Amino acid sequence: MKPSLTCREFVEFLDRYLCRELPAETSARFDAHLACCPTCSAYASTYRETVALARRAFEADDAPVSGVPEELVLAILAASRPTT
Amino acid sequence: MEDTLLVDALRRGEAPAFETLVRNHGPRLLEMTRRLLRHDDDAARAAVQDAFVLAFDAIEGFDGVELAAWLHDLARSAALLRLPRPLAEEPIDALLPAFLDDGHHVRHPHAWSAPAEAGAPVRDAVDRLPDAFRIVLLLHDGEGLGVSAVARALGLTDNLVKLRLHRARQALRGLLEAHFGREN
Repeated sequence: MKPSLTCREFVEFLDRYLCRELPAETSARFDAHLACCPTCSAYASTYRETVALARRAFEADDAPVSGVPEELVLAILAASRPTT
Repeated sequence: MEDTLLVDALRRGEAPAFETLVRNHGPRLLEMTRRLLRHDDDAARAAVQDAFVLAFDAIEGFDGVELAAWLHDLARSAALLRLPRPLAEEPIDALLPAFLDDGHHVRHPHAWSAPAEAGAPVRDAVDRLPDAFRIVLLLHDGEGLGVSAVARALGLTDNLVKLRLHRARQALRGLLEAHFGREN
């Protein structure tokens, strides 16, 4: 039986645990640590929330969009004027 | 004008189609390049211009599918080329969790939750990350690229991308805890 994880180990490999990239036996040790460590449980919860917030913050419908300055439109058209 | 008709007009070299393309797709591209280039407006505009010029030159070879995605890829690549290299990698240790010698946390994380309209403070927090971490997070979590695609875009290994992404998320968690959190 391998020794239980430390909090440092849990946090260091948290991303791979959440992405289910760890071997089954290792993942089971993470499950056990999570079940008995309120600090790591709180950390994992806010880490997941952070990932979700970052994704939402840059979704097309959420991020602010302004127009293109007229001088940029003109500069682009001047730089790529059709030859016909 | 639908994109398929627009592409046909572009291939015929019709000048109004070029302007329509810029006005239809420019705003999103400029927003994205501004984000990648840390709101350096001149560099962001130049990247968008580079992308459109390249698109106009390459329109004959465009397969006609997903015009917006194609332009987005061109503009993203143009923006990444304008980032100072190597990407800035200032230490972010102060934002990462700290541990005692026995491996336990130094402190319990503060409880926090974000309001529904948290986009602006989250984007501001991402802007505070050093580029080496910020860009990986933006490309993966913001742009939706996979680890290998981020690695190819930045010339890094997959493992380094995973490590930087994890560190970026940890650091961002620390910044958001400071912004939204309260003592337990």
